[in-house]
Amino acid sequence: MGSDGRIEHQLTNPLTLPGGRAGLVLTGSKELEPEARAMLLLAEGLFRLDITVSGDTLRTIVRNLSTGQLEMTGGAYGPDGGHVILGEAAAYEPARTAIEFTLGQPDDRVEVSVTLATLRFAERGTIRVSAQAIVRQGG
Amino acid sequence: MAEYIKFRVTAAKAGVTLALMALIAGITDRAQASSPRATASVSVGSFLKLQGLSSAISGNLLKLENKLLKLDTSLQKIDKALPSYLKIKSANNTFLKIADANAKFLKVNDANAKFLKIDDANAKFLKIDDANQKYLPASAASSFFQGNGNVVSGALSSLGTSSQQLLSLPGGIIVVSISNTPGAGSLLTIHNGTSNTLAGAVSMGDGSVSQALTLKPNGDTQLPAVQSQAAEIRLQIFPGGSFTSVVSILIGLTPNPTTSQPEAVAQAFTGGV
Repeated sequence: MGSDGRIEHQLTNPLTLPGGRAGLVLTGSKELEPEARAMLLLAEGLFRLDITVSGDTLRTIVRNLSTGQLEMTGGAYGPDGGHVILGEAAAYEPARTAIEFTLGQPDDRVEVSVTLATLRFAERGTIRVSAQAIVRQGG
Repeated sequence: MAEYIKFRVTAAKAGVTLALMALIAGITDRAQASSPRATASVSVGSFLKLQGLSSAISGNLLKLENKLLKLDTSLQKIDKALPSYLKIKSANNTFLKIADANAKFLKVNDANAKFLKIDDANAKFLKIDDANQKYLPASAASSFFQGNGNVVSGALSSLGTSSQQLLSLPGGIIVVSISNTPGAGSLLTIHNGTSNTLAGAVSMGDGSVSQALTLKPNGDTQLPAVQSQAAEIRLQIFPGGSFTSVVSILIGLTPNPTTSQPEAVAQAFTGGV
């Protein structure tokens, strides 16, 4: 975290959603060694997303920072989505996954959609995990 | 047709022969009784009189008469058949000559070799109506990809002085290109392929605060040069106009251990709002 409170590996900006609802977009990435745990995304007062890579498995840990209940949605394997791999990117064994959850008080719920992708750097023995999270104020 | 004409000439010759014979006094008596054609060309009063002739002559005349009767029967048959035959002039007007047909029309064998049969076409090709029902038009593909949670990965193992495409969202709605000039650093160009002006933000990964961006419709926007060989650039593009997605692009630059030139690896995320 920078001296001004910014998380250096993350870019966060507000969104205006249809119907005038508020939203956020968080973009971040971390390169880590196998079995290491790292914080990938942080939404102050809402959640923190940690990751661990173990073998060919990406593990996500969502810490609920809100005062309400957190509920995972989107199915056992997360919501579906496409993955297009162009040119030389295949050498990095790119992969994609996603998670969805809702959290907050019943009268102030937010929906969070997180899409994650990985790249394997074989010569360095590391994995880069990147993610985009879209936070939507409940309707 | 030639055979028919030949037959008519023969018939004409036979008619002339009959006329000459009729001039011989009293020859045509019995022949007249059974031959309508002879009736037409020989006078009624000139009949063959066999009295006073020797049996040899009268016998030969009877044989000749029988042959004439047969010939006459044949001519009658031809007369009856005439309506069934076509004159050459009429045939030319009605029918196409084979030489002309060859010149103007395609033979079935050639057609089989050159053209697709309808059954084969139905088996192998998709009808336009079916395509419209089953497939999304290419013009709508970019809208389709704007749904939730899609990823595009791209990489370039070696950067050159000329700009190369690093990644492109389907339909070319957003394209990222990069070049590297020693001493000048790496230059990233973002192409906005939509017809909307899009707002965005970029963090160049050098510790500086993020900058706001405006991506012109159907235009290119160049990011500040990256001087370091290792950098992590983060870019966000926000919805605008008919473009209803949020796009995040993460670009990693690292020195290639083999070429010592920077290599670029990027991943783009799209999510609908």
